[in-house]
Amino acid sequence: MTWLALERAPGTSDLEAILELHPATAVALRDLVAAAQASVDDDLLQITALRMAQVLGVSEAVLAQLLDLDPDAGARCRRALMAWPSSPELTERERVSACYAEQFVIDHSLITDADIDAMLTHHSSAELFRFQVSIGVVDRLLRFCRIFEIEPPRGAS
Amino acid sequence: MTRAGFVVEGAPDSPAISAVAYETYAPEFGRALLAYKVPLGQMTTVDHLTKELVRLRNAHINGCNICSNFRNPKALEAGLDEDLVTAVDDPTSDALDRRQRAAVGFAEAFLLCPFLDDATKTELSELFTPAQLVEIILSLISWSANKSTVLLGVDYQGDDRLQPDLAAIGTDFL
Repeated sequence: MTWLALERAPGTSDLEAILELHPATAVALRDLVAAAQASVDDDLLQITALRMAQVLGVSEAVLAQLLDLDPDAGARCRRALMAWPSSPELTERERVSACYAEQFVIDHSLITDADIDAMLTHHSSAELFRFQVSIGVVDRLLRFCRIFEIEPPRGAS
Repeated sequence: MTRAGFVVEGAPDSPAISAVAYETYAPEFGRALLAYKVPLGQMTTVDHLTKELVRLRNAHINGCNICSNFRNPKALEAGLDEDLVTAVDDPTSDALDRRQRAAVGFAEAFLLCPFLDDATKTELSELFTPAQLVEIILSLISWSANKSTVLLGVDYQGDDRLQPDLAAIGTDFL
């Protein structure tokens, strides 16, 4: 449970209770997340976001409250992440992109020109920009969840 | 200058460069990011001076020249000066009060290592309400978008100060 001393109605999740403190901003945040999701193809964003969540210790159940995750794609992602980074279930594009995102969340200052050029073998400049700004949103959401120690709603794993 | 093989066609060499990048490659996302700033500016549980110190610490950590050179007018009205701007990066300076220093430290944790120990949680809970702590982090969600633009080299390196039309954006605090 979050360490914030919140008053909440019974059954309200950590995330709901926190976002209720600033409802107008919460709506705009959801719009921003939706825009991020619309900017990158779903499978790529999902595997990337789940890897980033693993690094920051945020559960898939919490991430699913913020991003629209496909349960079927999620099963493939979980299998792939169990054999990270060499899983044969990942396309090379997914592997390179998720490695890039992993480094971004660990320490973005260590992303090299070679890493960017590796991304550009699988993405145009436009696609790279959209991917970058979208994982930027995911990164900040995950940090938000991590710093407040947001837990999944009751009943979610 | 953009990084490696990444290019933004027609990008100006001015503080507008990142706006052009969004407009060229991700216009809908850029609009959502701008729209997020409107309710952000309307959150008032944290004073403008403290928020500006947090925003500047974020700018300095992420290496964003555009953000580092900008000064929110409301923060200037509240007493921001260049001595405070310098002090925000110096943990030994007593120019920031305990509360301001704790807010800056909270931002550093969010940006660098978002795992708080019990002593830090206790101090933050003593100094801020939950609404204030959430306001700081929701604000950083906007401000640290610069991490991506700096990484890709879409950050103007000149000394010109950003002069946005805040009224046109719909806020009085960026």
